[in-house]
Amino acid sequence: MAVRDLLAQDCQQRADGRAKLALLWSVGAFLVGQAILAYIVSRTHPEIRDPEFGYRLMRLRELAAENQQRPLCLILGSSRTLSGICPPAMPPWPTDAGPEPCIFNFSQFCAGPVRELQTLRRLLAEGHRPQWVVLEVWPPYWPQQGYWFDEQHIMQQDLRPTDLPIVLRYFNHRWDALTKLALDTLVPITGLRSNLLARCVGEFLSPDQHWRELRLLSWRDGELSGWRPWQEKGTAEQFRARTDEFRTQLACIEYQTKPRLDDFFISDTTDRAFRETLEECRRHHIKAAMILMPEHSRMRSWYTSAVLEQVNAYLDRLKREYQVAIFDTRTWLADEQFYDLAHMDPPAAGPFTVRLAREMLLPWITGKPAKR
Amino acid sequence: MLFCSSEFLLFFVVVFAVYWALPWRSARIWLLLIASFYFYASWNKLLALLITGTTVLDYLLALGMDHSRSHRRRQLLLCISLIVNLGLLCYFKYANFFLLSLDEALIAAGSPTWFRPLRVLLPIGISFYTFEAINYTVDVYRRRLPAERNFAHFLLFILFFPHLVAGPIVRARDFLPQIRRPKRWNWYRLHLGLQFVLMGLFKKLVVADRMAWFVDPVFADPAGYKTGTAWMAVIAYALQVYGDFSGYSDMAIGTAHLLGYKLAQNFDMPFLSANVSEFWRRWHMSLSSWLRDYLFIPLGGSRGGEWKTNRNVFIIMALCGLWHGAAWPFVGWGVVQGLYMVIHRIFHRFCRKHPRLVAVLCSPPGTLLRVAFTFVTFCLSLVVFRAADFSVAGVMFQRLFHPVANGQGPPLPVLGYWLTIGVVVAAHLVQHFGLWQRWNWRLPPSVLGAGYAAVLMVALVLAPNGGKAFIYFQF
Repeated sequence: MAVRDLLAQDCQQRADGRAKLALLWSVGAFLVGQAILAYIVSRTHPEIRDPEFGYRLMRLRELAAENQQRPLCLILGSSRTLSGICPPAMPPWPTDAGPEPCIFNFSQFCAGPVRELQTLRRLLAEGHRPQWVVLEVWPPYWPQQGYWFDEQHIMQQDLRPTDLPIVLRYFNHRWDALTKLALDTLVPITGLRSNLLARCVGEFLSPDQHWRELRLLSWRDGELSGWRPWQEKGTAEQFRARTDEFRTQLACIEYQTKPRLDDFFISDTTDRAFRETLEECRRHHIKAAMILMPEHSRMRSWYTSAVLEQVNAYLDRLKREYQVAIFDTRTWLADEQFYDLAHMDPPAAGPFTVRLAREMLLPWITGKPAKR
Repeated sequence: MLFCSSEFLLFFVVVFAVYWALPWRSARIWLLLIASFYFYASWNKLLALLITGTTVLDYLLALGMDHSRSHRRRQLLLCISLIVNLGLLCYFKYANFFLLSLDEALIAAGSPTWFRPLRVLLPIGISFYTFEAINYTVDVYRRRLPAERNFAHFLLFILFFPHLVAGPIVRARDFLPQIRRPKRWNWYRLHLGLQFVLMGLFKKLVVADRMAWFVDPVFADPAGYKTGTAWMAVIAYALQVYGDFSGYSDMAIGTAHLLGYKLAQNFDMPFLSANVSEFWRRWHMSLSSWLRDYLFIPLGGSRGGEWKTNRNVFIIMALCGLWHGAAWPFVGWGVVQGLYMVIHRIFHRFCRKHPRLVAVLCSPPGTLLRVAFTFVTFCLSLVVFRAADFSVAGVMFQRLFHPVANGQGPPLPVLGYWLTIGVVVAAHLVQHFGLWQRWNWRLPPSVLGAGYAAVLMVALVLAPNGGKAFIYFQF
C-alpha cells in the first residue's frame, strides 16, 4: 500500500473517530440537558410546567416550611371552590381547639373528581401530608361528559410520572396521554417551550402564545393562601354593566352545565375517582370531607328532584362507607352574591368562609359541635 | 409530513434503522422506494400513483430513446415525454391561472364571464420532480446519459423522499450512479448529515418561522403600518424565504447523507452576493443550473450577441418566476429579476470600459456597498413575490418609499427580530471566513457535541406551536 493511501486511510479513521465522538457527545449533552431541565421544572421552578399548579405548589411549600408545627388542611376543587373559600377570612382559631391548622386552597380551574385525585397524588408524592382534605363535589362533573370532562382539562396541562396510574385507569385516549406523558417527562423541552419562553423571554413568544405570559403573571401574583378572587372579567359591577357579555357568559355556563344535569348519571369514572381519593386519604390517615359549594338559584333549578335524590343518595353512601363528612352549602348565598351563575362574587367569599368555618370546618376538625 | 415534525422524525428513525440493518443493496433500494411512496402518499394517495405513473412512462420512453437509432423516433419519444410532463405540470399548476387570466381579459373586453375554476388538486412538488424527469429524458436523448435499465433505480431517482417535494432538483447523471454504489456505514457521513439536518432545523424553526410573525400581519394590511415597520417586514421576508427554503434543502441534503446519498448544494450564502448574477449562482442553485442547461443554452445562450443574450436571460427569469407559482405577481417577480439581470449585464459592460470605477467597486467598502445594494434590490423584488396581488404590492411600495407618521409599529417586540438578524449575519460571516471548517476540525468532539445539543434545544424552544408548512411546498 502506498504511503499516500496509508495517510488517507489514517485521516479517514481519525475523521470517523472524531465524528463518532462528537455524535455521542451531542446525544449525551442533549439527554443531560433534558435531565437538568426536568429537575429544574420539578424542583425549583414548577411554574414552568404549569403556572397554576406550580406557583401554588411553591406557596404551599413556603407555607409548610413556615408552619412546620401546624397541621395542614387542604381544599381541593374547581374554580368555584378556588374563588369561594378564602383562608385569610377564617375566624380566629379557638384557643382550646388544639393547634391551629394551616388552610391552603389548592383548587384548580376545571377540576373534577379525577383532577382532584391527580392533585392529591401529586401533593402526596411531593411529601405534603395534610391532616384534613376538603374535596369539592359538583354534580355536573359526575357524568364526565361535554365540557365537564376531566381528561380534556388534564391533557391541556403537563403530565408527570406520578400521573401514570391515573392515565391508565381513567383516560379514554390513553395512547395520546401516554405519548404526552413520555414527551413531557423524557423531552420536557418540547412540551414546555412556550411556558419556558413565557417565564424567561416573553418577547420571543409567538403572537398566539402571549396569553401564557399573562397567565404566568396572574398566578405569580396570586393570593398566598391559594384563594383567587373571581374577577376574570373585571369586578362584578363592571361585568354586569356589559350586559351582552354578561348574558353570553350566563348562556355559556348554562350550555355547558344544564345538559349534564338533564341527562344526569354517576359515571364509573367519577365513582372510581371519588372512592380512590377517599381510599388514598384513609391510607394516609387523612380526614376527608366533601363540600357542595353554593349555587345560584337558576342553576339549582336545573336539578330535578330525581337528580337531587341520586346525588344525595350517592353522597350518603360515600359518607357511610368512608365516614366522610358532607358539607352542603348549596343554598347559603343569595343570587346577588354571585359573579355569574357558578362563581362567587369576591366580597361574598369572606362571609361565606367565616360561616363555613364556624358551622362546618371547626366542628369537623376539632370534633366539637358548633356553637350557635 | 413536514421534515420538522414528530411524524417525520418517527418515520425517518424507522427507515434509517431498517435501512442500515438490511445487508442487501437491492432490499435497501426497495425499502427506500416503499418509504418514499409512503412519504408522498401521506399527502395524497392518488397523486402518489400519478407520480409513479409518469415515472414509469419516462422510464419506458428513455429506454425507447436509448435503443432507437432513428433520430426522428428519438425526437418523437422525447416530445411525448416533454408533452406528458409539461402537460401535467400545466394542467395541475397553471390551468386555472391561464383560464382565469383569459376570463379576466374577456371581461375587460366587455364579454360576460364564462369561466368556472377547475377543481384541481396541486400535486405537491410537481415542479421539482417534473424538472428532474425532464433532465433525465433530455440527457438520454442527447446521449449524455445511458437510459437506466433498472426500474427500481429509476423510480428511486424520482421518488427519493428527501428531495421529492421541494428539491434540490437532482440530476440523473449525479444520482443514478450513487444508487449503484454499495453503501457502508460511515460515522463521518452520519456526522455531516446530522450537521445539515440541525442547520436546516435551525434555519426553518428559528429564522424562517420567527420572521414570518413580522411579515404576515404587515403584508396583510400594508397601509396600516409605519414605513420603518414595512422595511422590517420586507427584510424579514427575505430572511424567511431564505431560512425556509435553504433550511428545507439542508434537511433534504442531511437526510440523504444519513442514507448514504449526496444531493447537490442548493444555497451558497446568497446574501453575500455582490451582484444579481452572482446571487442567482448562489440562490436555488439546482434550479438556476437547470434553467441554464435546459432552457438558456437551447435558446441560444450567450452565442447570439448582446441583445439576444439579454433577451434569453430575460425570458429565463420570467419563466423562473412563473415556475414559482401560477399567479401574475410571481411572473412580475420573474420579470423584475430578468430586468435586474439585464441591467447588471449592461452595467458590467459599462464597467469594463471604466477600470477606475471597477477599482472603486471592487475595494472592500465598494464590495460592501454592492452586497448591500444586491440584498436591498432582492428584498424589494420580493414585495411583488409576497404580495397577494399587484395592488397590495403597490401599497407596500408606497409605504416603503413614502414615509408616514401614522400607522402601527412592529407587530411583535423587536428583540427577537434583531437577534435573529444578528444570528444570520454572524452565521454568514463564520461561513464566509471559513471559521466553521476550522472549528469542525480543531474543536474537541465534546465541545462540538455540546454545541449541537445546544443548537437543537434552542431550535426546539423557539419553534412555533403546531409548525408552519414550507413556503416552497406550494411551488
